[in-house]
Amino acid sequence: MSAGHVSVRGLLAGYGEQTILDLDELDVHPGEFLSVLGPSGCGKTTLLNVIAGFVQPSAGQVVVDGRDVTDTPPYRRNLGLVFQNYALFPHLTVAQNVAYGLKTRKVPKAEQTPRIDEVLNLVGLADYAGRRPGQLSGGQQQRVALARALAYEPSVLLLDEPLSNLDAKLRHQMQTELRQLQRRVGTTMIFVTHDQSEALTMSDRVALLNGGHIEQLGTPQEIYRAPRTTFVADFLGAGNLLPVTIIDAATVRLGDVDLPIATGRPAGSQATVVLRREHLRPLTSPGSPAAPRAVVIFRAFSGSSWQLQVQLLTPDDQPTGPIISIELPDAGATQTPPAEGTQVWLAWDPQAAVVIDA
Amino acid sequence: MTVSAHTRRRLTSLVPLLPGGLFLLGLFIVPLISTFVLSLRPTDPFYDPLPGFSTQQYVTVFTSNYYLQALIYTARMALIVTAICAVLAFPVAWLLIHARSRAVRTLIMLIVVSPLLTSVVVRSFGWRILLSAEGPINSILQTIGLTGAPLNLLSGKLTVIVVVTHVLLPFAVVTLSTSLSKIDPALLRASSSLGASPARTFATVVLPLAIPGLISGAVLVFSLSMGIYVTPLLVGGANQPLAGLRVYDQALRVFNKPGAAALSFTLFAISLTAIALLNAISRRWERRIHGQG
Amino acid sequence: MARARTTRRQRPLGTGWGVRTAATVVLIFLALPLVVLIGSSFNASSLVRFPPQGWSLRWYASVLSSHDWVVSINLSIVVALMVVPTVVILGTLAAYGLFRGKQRGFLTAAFMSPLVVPEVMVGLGLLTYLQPTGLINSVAGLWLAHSLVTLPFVIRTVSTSVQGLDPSLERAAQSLGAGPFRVFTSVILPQLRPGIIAGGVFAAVLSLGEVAVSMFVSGPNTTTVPLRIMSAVQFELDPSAAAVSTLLMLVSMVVMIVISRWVDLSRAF
Repeated sequence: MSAGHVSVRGLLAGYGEQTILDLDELDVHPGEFLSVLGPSGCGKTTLLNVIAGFVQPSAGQVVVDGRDVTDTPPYRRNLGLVFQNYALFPHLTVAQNVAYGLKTRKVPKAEQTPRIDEVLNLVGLADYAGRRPGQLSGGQQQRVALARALAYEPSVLLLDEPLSNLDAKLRHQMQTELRQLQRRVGTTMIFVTHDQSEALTMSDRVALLNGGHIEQLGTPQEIYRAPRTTFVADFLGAGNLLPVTIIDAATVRLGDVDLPIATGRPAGSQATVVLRREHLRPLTSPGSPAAPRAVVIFRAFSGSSWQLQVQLLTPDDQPTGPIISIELPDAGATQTPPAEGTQVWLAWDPQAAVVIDA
Repeated sequence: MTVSAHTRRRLTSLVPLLPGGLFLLGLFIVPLISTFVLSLRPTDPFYDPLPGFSTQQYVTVFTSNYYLQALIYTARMALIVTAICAVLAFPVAWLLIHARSRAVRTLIMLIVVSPLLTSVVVRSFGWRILLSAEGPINSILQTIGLTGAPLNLLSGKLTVIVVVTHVLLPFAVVTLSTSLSKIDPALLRASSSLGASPARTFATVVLPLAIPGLISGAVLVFSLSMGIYVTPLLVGGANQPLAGLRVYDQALRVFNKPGAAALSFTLFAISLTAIALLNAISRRWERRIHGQG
Repeated sequence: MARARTTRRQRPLGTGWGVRTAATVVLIFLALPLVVLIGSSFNASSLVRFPPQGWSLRWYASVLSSHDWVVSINLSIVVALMVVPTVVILGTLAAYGLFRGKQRGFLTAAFMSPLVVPEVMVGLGLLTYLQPTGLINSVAGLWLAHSLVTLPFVIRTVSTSVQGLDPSLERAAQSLGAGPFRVFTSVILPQLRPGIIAGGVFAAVLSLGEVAVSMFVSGPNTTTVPLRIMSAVQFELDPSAAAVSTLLMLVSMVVMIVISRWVDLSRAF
């Protein structure tokens, strides 16, 4: 099996006058699990289709393992593809579906059978070889689709939102299984999804797409903790994106309220400060002297955590300042967060605040 | 006795069917039955029906060369036409579904469907002009030098097959395209991603899934071919050994209605047998596809 | 950032040149006789020939001023105008009864049965049955025959609309106090309108071109346009029949373009 290195250069793709994809470069490392993440219409499915060969770019190149495949038709690119609706051949059994890619490669019958058994075992469906897709559940069909794409050991596997049609619980389970499988087999996987928590959970790196461009590419920790643009900060996690004006080296102004945040930027400039919900704490007594005061206006219990909204007090003590969201992990029945109407002081780890361009 | 609400509701829901049902009963079912009865009447030498019942007409159908030969010839023609239509319909039906440009799809629709809305007389007329001794086909053949004198293209097995195919092809295209449109395009991409060339994808994915649509088109074309008569009458003449023509001939020229009735029921029976057979095959195939195999 | 832009066409799967060539050949085959017919209707000489020897509209003028042709045209139009309301009413009611709610397999097949029976047999049946009633060689006879033949098509066209009926609209009307009749006329019929119009227009066109069954129920006084074309083709030699045929084709094509906006024609068969 070859390395599984995919590189894309100068890609322009669209329909008619509309440009959907405009990518300068993307390199997928051999053996990595890369998620391509983004809102609908951002071009992620188009990118997958270009790499697979179903969409011809109007400019640019796709190179797989050193081979320029831009002009190669899809059935000669030797990639694996898993579709959102699985696309299992309804008139063939599970085993025949899995054998399909082996047949097209003229693998002798004697070698096909052990390979089919092996890959069905890998996805845990060894006993289902004789069934037809119509007799399988969604999760099982998903695994057959995976087995079918892996049977001929492609160096790269492309997955187009394969878990979207599964219910939440099954989805979480499949996320783990898929990741473990990938580590075992070592195939490069390019995984398209619109679900940011899914992308963060499963990937070695995440490419966040917006309007056909790569907004940011990095490891899950990098793009979550150090978003470079407001789009990235907003898309990942549920943060508070605060449009502020820099007052001095240690203070910014949000609306009427001053917050003790050091930005290292010139006074008078604008910026966006990202304070994630899980990094804020509402204290019932003042911590530091500059801690901003707020009133709890909303509090709800959501099982593993509490969701709060606090409204900052203006300099003249009116509870009409900006509203900040806080999420607190639940610490048991004896430790409930401050109730609605309580005055609190906000605290956070100064390292957690991220400053990005406005 | 009180009628339960459930029964009342069911009966009320049948009310809209009454007008149409009575209409069909009176103009279709009853005439059909009386025609069948007519086919069981013996006739005198002037072909007038006599009272009583007899199998005379059916015996004649199966023993007289005039009828039997026509039935065999017609059945054979119908089979050939059905097979040709099945093959020719494919590329057109495929493009109708998958062509990217809307203009192309509309154009195909126009060319395929307008013949269906145009009288069969008009279409047959066009063939007559095309195949006549002074027509363009003959002119081309003579210009190329394939023949010296104009050929009589308006008669013969080949002509009948070509013209009947032309008349019935639109039916095959329309039924096939409905079936093709139901094939999930993701299956085609999956097949391609797994390494299958377009030809292989066609043979292993498209064709098996298109069989039900193909068969329903075949049913339509076959049964229409068995009874076709106006077209052959205009292109080839009334003397061709086609069952439909012979029914027309016996009914409207010779005034042998019992004989015509018997022949028409026989040809109907042949059609029904073929339809039942094809439908059974189609059902078995569908069961295979949808998982009970 | 400026980049060299090479336009490469996108190819959906399976529309390679092979398929396109094959389809084009078949489509030419389908269109050929009609093109030939249209062309020969413009022949300046009085021979039915293609390519035409000289171009002229004289045959169109001749047809429209010929007594025989005008009588036939009037007859065909009158019959069509009688057929349309008949089959629209019968067919809409039948489609509603058959396709609303539970699908009745046997009854649906029964209503579609005229399509399964060969046209010769339908014609023969009508001939046998109507002869003693004197309806042969009458306008009424043609009306009944055409209605019979076109009814299944109307049922099929309307049935598509019936299957698309929104039950919540009916329930809303009932909750507002409308009785069954009012619900039918004010809520259901408007939703069925596209299918009904398409079906009616379809029936009109089929009636204008009907010939296989008409041969059995018509007579010397009831020569519809297609019947006259038939005898003209067999016995006369001038292009008037070609001109009438072209007009008939034109009507069909215009109709097809118009109703294809409302109804998916592939479902009508």
